[in-house]
Amino acid sequence: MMQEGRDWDRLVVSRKDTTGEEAVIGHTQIRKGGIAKVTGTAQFGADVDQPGQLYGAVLHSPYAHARVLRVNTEKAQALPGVRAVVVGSDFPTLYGSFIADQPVVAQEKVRYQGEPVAAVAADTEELAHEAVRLIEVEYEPLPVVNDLETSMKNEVLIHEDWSRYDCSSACFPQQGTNIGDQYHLKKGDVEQGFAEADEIVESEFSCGMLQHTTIETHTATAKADPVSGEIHIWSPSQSPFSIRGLLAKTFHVPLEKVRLTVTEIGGGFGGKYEVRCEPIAIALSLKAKGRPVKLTYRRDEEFAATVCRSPVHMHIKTGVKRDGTLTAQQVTIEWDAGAYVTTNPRVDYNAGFAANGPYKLPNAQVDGYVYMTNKTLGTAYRGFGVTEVATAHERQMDLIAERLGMDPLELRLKNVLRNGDTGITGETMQTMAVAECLEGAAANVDWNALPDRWVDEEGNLCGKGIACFNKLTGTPSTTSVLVKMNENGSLYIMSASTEMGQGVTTTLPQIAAQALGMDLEKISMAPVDTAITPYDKTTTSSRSTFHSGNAVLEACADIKNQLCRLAALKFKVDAAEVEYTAAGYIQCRTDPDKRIHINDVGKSGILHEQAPVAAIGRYGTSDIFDPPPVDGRQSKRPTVMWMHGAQAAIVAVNPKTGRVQVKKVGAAHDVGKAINPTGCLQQIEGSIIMGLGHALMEEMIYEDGKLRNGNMVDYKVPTFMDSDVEVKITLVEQAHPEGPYGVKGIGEPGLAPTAAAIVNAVCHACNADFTSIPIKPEHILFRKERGDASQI
Amino acid sequence: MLPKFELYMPTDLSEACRLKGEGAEVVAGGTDVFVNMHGGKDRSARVVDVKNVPELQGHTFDPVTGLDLGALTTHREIELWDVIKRHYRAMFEGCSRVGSVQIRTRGTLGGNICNGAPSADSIGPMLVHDARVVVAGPSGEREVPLKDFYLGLKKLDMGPDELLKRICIPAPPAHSGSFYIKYTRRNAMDLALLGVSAYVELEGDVMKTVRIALTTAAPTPIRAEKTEALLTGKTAAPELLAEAGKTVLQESHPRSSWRSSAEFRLALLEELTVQALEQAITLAKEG
Repeated sequence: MMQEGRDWDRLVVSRKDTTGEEAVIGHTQIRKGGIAKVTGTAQFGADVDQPGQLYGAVLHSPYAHARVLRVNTEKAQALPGVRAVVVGSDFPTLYGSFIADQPVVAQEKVRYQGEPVAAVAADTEELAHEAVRLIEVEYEPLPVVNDLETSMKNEVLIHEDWSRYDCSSACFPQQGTNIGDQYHLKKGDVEQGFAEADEIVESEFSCGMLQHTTIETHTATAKADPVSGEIHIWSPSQSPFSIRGLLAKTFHVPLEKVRLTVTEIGGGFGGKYEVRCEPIAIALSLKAKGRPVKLTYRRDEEFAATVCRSPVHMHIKTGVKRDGTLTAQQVTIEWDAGAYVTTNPRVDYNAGFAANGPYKLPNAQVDGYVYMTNKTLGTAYRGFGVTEVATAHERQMDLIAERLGMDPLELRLKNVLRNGDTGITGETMQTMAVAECLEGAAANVDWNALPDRWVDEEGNLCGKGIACFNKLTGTPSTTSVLVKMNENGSLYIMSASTEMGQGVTTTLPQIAAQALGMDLEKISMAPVDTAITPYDKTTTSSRSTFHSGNAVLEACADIKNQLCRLAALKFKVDAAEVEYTAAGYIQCRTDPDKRIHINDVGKSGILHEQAPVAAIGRYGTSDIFDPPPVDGRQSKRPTVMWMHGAQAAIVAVNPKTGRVQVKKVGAAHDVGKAINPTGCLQQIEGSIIMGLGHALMEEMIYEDGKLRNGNMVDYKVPTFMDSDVEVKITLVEQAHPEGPYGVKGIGEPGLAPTAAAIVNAVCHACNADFTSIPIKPEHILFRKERGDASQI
Repeated sequence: MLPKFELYMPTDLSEACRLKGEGAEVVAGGTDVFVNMHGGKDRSARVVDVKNVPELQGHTFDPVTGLDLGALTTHREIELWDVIKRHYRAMFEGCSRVGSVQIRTRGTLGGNICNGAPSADSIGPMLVHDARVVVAGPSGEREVPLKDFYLGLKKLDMGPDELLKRICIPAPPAHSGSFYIKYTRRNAMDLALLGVSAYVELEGDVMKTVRIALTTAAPTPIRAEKTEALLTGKTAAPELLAEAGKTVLQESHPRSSWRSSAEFRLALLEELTVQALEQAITLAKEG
């Protein structure tokens, strides 16, 4: 146990299977694996080396949109030490988790600047890069679709014929257009709701294009045997089983022939949910007669040729009564999603359910469209679109509050969903604590004592802003874990919930330690390998502690039974006579002197020459899931778990230089049950600084299909020197009835309201209406101040 | 990935000059050269590391003659030297805002001058402090005022076989003060979007000497001589400083790019010029 050393508090609303007196859960624990990372011994993707390994390099397209007329690899192939060159025609296969629209390397055309056009495997990295420079490509440039406006015209189609592609049932492209997916939610009748309203408020909001900028760039080492078809990949992959499935399909081999060994992951944030280097490394290994090939992207390749968070434009129209009651809301979402569909349908779907916020709305409509453009590929980014829609709907709530002359907090509290209210899909909401989160976030910045805007001693314009959100976790999904006892009584948990810094490899052992009454030090997480580790759908959607934690609990129940049977043999009593106590004793009911503590099982002798103790735990949500139909997306249970939280921000804006300083952020997030409190606080703190970057600094800038700032100098991620924000956090615990010990997810939610709260605070401070992020100093200097609220 | 190159590490100045004359790329701290090599922009086959050349090392301050800085003096050495903070405040402000502690510990003043980036943080402050550079080559040494050292974008008044040896900066007289304001989008690891350096020497309330330098306002750091002339010999009144903020706009011709609009740069330039002058005057009054 260790001290948190932070300014935070805990608000317990309700408990599940806990008293608050537990020894292991609810207390901060040292991160499993933390020491290896801090001391530099952890092995990340690029640290992998295989005997006989070759090095890969990729030729990227300089054009955003062009026909590939000819690729001449003769000179590259002639270079001594070059073992394989791959061009599009070598692997005429397409892949994609929702729609198979993407080639391993470009075939007839390139669709974004940076798209792989050819790849080389050679004895050294230097040689591979030298060979790449020798490849000659003839392009015929095509008109570039640089933005949403151009994409919507459909004059230039990035994918000419969607019907050619293998498309899943969860992707809805529109033939003859640049629309790669769409989502429509309809609850009640918005027109009727608008007619019942006293006021109609409309607004637009746009979010910029972001790079995940994980410290570790994409990398993969592949060993693919062209004869047996067996493929082994080592990569820092967020979701090994979904990637295994995708790669098996792409390379036309049975699933079981693909093995993925997960390395330590140097940051994911959704960016390592997509395959990037993996298929190219496999293709090269296949052509190099099965020699292992390692491909690691440089930072400039990471920017140009991997994935990003799509820019998005949103329009919101809300009907509201004079007393602040919302009557209807209509949201249109337009994703500028890049050249291939990737995970955008899931982003579109998750954002669609979240787009109206955690509010009571009798009438609602959402129309989301994924528009293809000639830019790098949009994908999941910590929250699957929820952060973007939260920024829009929370800006809208402030505009409504201003129109009505209400306090922004009061308007939100009047409309938030509470237990028993009807949610956006017609669901009866349970385990809600949004109101508590809003009140907690407000209290953490002393909201009620502050005016909307003021001027500080240095002449800075100051303001406050608040925001909340709702986010669902992907449902249905399944997971399984294997818990096995070693000969000395210690435990291994095998789970494919991968560690990306979010702390799941600490929370799962904590849950097992709590369930068994065992010392946490005796429990380890095994490395993740699809050939060995039991199935888990993905490490996304803030689902891991909830889902895998439930599986761990099931396995621990079985472990207890097995130990009771073994102890009965030793005690020479009937198995039914032995019980497992809450304190971790395996004990004879009739003779309590006959007992063994779980920490002493190893030396007790009961494991000796007996059937080894091992248990499977499973958890799935198909049974509780009410599939939301494509037509309207109404459902009694669209998700197993909603997540909620709120943040309030205080900003100071220098009116002469336009610089914004975020002085303070007060946060309150419903985590259900904080298994490892510091882990929760770190997720939220990290998110707040990430969100600060999104609100004020970060954007990928494209001009005519060309990325202008694809490096870490010109793409402005906040540094530690920009992170001087006073943060106060409340962990709200409204136990989830189905979560292990009441847990809810917190991997993504910390980010969801941050940019929204900062935007609202800056708008208040400047008495101006900013309609896009990042809000940059030039926007502030050249802002249009507005008059009274009636003119909004 | 660094390309392959031959590395020379001479301990002799003439040997270093000879290698440079033969086309070897000069590296000191490496904070520009290696970045360019990693980025594929620099494929030099030969590199000469001058860190072991004694003539380029060391730095001293004499109250009469001023600073004698070896070209290898690092930004971090400047940042941590009390003399600089006391007498050459603009240099402290410039060098302490370069990159990060790690970069400042590697990067050198000589490298900053010779790389000649329009955004170089140390050059504007050295310009307003009237720095002169000492260039050494086979035909001996010569001294060049820093303001005349730049002939154009990345063009220096230095022969192929010459090296920047030392930087000499006069001791500032009493009642003088200087300041540099670096405007960036973030607080570390960033290049100046705009920078303004100011030096003011007061005689009573009258500004006896004024020097202003602009960073990222032209292909090389430049002096704003018209604005200097406007101010020299006059009393530092707020209206006059405001006028200087307007005048300086005529000496800068920023272009709009994805980094920033010209309009924004001009608005900042006006504001930061006034602020830098105000700060320099305040320090001059204290000094």
